[in-house]
Amino acid sequence: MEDAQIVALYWQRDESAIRETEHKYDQYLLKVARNILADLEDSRESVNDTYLAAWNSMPPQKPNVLSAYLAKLTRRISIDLFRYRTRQKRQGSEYALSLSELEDCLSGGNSTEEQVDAKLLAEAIAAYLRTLPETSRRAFVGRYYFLDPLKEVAAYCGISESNAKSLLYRIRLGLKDHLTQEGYL
Amino acid sequence: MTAETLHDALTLLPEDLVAETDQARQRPRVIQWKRWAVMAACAALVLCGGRVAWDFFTPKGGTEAAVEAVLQGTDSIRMEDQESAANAAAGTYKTEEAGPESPMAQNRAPDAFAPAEDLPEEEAQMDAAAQETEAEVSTFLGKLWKDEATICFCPEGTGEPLEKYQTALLRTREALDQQLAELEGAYNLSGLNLEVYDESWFEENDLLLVRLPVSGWYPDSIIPSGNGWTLRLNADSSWEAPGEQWIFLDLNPDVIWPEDAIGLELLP
Repeated sequence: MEDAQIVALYWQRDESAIRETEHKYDQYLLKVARNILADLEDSRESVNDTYLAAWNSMPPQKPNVLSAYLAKLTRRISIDLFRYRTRQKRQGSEYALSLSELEDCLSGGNSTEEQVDAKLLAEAIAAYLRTLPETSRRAFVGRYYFLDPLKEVAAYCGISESNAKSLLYRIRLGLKDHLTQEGYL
Repeated sequence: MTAETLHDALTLLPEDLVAETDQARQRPRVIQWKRWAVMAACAALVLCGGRVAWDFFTPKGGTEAAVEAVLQGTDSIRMEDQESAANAAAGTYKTEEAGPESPMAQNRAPDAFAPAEDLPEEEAQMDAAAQETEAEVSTFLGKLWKDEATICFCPEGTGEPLEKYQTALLRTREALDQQLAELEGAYNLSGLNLEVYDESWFEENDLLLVRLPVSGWYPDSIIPSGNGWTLRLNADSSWEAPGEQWIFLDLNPDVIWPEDAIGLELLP
């Protein structure tokens, strides 16, 4: 089924939208989640949460590229789960526990101001990425958005692994300069 | 600012940037295929080169004879055991020496094993010459190692094989059909279009079947090509379906390899 038809099903509140999404994108989303969580069970949980998030967000959202939209949801959910799991593992350390307790003094990271900051930062990063050649852009997004292993990034960028490594290093340095100029650092 | 902040911001990247990379990620991986196949490609090139050399110097002769001719010119290291070396050199095309686990055991062309007394006089003379060649091949161990139904490469000077690939040389349509019958239980042959390989094709060419170690493939890595299927391999060690696949290599020197290699899809 075409993406537009699946999105239309979501908008009609037709539950088959989730089945169609699962049929078409389950493996794809599972890979995105596994790159972050490195655990099949957690990844499955994350992908299931993605379906729920998609159901809850469409409408009002009407994504142009469904795969990218779903990948974004999976990425966010998986990173949240990763942080939660990491915090759980650190429970034995008093220092980590104190950090966790002190977080209560701070905002939860979801304040409007922080969201706006993140959005502005994302725009600054996107502006920098648009100045790069296509291969560099793919390498950066593949490595740091989809969190693909370096070997895979090199493969789909058509370059060697060592070239990919040095390319990413140069991009990171360039991004640092750009963010400094923009006043983020 | 922490790396986590950056990651949170990256989640909000515009869709078009993400989609652009996503498209590239989901394309078949030609580079990986080449990487995994490079050793077998070299083997095919050696065989093709041998055939061309043989065709140039003699009016008749099969691919194995061409390989022998190439090998004959290489004199880098002398094998310690002359007898086993001769067996190893000749064994590539000898059905009876193939291991019991080898599905290649029954697929040799009949003319490769016909007793000398059944052949016409001229052919019998050629066969005697070939026997001589096999004996001389025992001095070879520099680049290509032949051991029963396998080929592999040895670094010059070491004498130790690095990678070994099981092979079968198909010299007749009948041998190809026999081979396909053996493989059909394990591989999906329904998409193969082998009509081009008729008896007349085999008069000028041979088909080499190479078994390559494959770490796995993505669902879209088996793609229809002009003549059957092209198998695009990847080297993703985390993939959960490792195995070994058979690849058909057209030994026609005019064919550009490995783009025209035909891979077989392993049945679940």
